[in-house]
Amino acid sequence: MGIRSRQMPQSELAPVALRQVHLIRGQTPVLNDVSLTVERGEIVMLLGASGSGKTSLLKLVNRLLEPTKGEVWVAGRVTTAWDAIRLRRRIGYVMQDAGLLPHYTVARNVGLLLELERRPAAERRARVAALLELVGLDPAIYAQRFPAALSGGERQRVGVARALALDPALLLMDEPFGALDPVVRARLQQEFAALARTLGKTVLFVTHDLQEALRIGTRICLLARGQLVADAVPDDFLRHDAPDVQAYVQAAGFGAPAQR
Amino acid sequence: MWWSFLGENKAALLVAWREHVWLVIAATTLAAAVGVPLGVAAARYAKLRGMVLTVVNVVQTIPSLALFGLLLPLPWLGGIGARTAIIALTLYALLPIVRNTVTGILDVEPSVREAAEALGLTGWQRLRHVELPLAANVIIAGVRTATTLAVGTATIAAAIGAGGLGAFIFRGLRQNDHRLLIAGGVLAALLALLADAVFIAFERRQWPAAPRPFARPVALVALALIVLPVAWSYWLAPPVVERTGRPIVIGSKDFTESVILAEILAQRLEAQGVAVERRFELGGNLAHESLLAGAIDVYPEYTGTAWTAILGERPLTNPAEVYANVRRAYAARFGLTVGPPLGFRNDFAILVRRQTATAYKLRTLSDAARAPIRWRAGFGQDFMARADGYAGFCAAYGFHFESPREMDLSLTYRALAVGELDLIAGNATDGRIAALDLVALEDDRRYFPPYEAVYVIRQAVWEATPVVADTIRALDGVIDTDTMRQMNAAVDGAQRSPREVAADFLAACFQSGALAP
Ligand SMILES: Nc1ncnc2c1ncn2[C@@H]1O[C@H](COP(=O)(O)OP(=O)(O)OP(=O)(O)O)[C@@H](O)[C@H]1O
Ligand SMILES: [Mg+2]
Repeated sequence: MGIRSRQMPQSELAPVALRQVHLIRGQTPVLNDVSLTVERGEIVMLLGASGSGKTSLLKLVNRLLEPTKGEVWVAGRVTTAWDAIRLRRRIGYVMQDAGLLPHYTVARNVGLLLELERRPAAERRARVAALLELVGLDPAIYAQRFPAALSGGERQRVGVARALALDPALLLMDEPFGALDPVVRARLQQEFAALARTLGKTVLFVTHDLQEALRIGTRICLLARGQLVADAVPDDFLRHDAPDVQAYVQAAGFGAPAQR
Repeated sequence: MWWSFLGENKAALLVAWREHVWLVIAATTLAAAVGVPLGVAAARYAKLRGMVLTVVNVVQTIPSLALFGLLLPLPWLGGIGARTAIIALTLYALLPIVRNTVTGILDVEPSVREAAEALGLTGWQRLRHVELPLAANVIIAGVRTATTLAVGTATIAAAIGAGGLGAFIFRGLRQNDHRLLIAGGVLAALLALLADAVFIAFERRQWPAAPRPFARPVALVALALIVLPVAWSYWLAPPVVERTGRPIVIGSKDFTESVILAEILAQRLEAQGVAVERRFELGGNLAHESLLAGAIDVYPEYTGTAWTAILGERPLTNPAEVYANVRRAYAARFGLTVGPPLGFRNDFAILVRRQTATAYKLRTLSDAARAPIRWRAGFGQDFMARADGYAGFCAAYGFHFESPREMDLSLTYRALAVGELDLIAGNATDGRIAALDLVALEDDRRYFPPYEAVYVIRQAVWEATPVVADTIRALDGVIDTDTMRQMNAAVDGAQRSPREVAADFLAACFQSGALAP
């Protein structure tokens, strides 16, 4: 199997490591013996059909869920040994539907964690403005708006800005660019990939978009039937021989890998 | 007529308004201070939720008089006056606040709740930044409901001497004075409307807030209309500062005769330089319970009531026997001294309209039982419940009433007078018998036990303050039934104050030499 073609690192020291994780939610078995290690500076793209357990996997990392069996390690510690609050504060999490607080303005949403960390107001204001600029939202226009007055794509960008507020080394991103138009999306993908690389962020990135995965990922994983059926660098992914990968690649319109 | 009424009662109405406003503010503030945290806890812990909601629900169903009775003997919480009333009103106000807090918090969108958790907010921070702000509208709506309800329920505060607009309503009912009734009722309704209007300013249904240019001015005007009369009342009638040194606390039950008797004693004591505190118009059985709890020192009671209702004995018909038994039992069981009889009896009296009595030639109760009338009868709760009341009465005379109405005693008089009822059980000395031209039918089978008026006083006070004991002894037998009926009529019919009527009575006693000034 080519899944672990690369050398197996010491998973305890990696930013994120799942070890033989099983997860059952309610009656539904979601993950079945998943192992995955994310090294510092990697951007690992997580692909999978709807309902295949991508969001659940992210939630295991910041301990919104705990594995039914197996272990999840974050920065050298099992998640269950972490103080959940401290763990979550050092992980930036962009939720699938942005998850903004409807009663706070964009500025307050983005700055909420800075506020809770008791950063001085001036620093907070400057940081919020910089973050909004970063995700392509003009602070003068957007800072005082409420989430209800934003488009879906604008909301997602606010969600990204908020996740970056405390400058976390690890980012969990759940389809953050799903609702963007192709132009902005392409720009943000590029900028994000560049930013993540220059800042040395480690990213676990969920997407449905194979193109996006190929464009910004340093590794691509595919979840199917509760298992990690592929884990490869982008160049190898399209040529991966697992039937699930082939089905996925063809459905995404990338044609038969043999032609490439 | 209304102008002169309002002119004469301006100060009293303003003070009642002030008392009412304070009761409502204190009770709803306390209820919010307790109810919101309780609701938050109940929303968080599912196990607690059922229990908390059941308890606040059950509290709602406790009748106010029973609740007062439960609270009265408690240290810190109980006693007579505003404190007990506020505690009771607070308990009643809890339900809407707790319920709305729970609903408001549980209704917060799960995705928002999860977002806050994912960001790493602690439990407190989630409460402060997410749950409370998003539930605020529903919680405020609960406080708003509680406030409006409290304005209504605060009328019962009068029953435990806390005053308020309820005092006017109860007095109006008792004295058959619709002006008091309407003034109290209309002001309470007005206060409820104004309180509701104040909450308009706190409403906010969406983010960003929809512009509502009138909300603030309307709320401010409503607030001003509530507060200005309060301020005016302080200017017209500043609150009496309680004297130091323990005065003799005189209580009374919540009907005219009891107030007059208490007032007579109060004025006699004041004339001799004894400091007196009036705690009149205590509802239900609260006067007796207050006496036991030491919240009052003395109040007028009836031997028949003491014997059957309080001591729970079987009715007796010999007045001297009842008096002697009550005196002995009160001393032994309660540590209370029963003073000498005041001279009149206020037995149950079965009343009909004069026109009914004449048409059917009714003189005695036996006549009435034989008369070919389908009686529409109505009785006070007291009469229905007592051992010497309804059941025994029907059996003694062979009455078979079809579904007798059980209602407020004062209302039975009104209903009889306007022809809604044909027969009621009133009191022999009630001023309304003459005022409404009613006829008391003779108890020819001697069914009803004697109700001699007496003062009941705490033994400790009786022994420690001879002047009080002497005063009560001197009042032995000075009031005959006719005099009492006239005094009641003067208050209930002629709308004079119990204070004036008592003063006139004492002046007349001095003139005739029945009492030494
Ligand atoms: N709260 C829950 N309780 C029980 N089962 C759940 C719960 N949330 C999700 N599931 C189930 O877990 C499985 C995985 O869900 P998950 O949200 O991780 O999928 P996903 O891969 O993120 O899908 P999508 O691409 O649609 O976002 C699904 O079958 C879903 O029905
Ligand atoms: Mg998902």
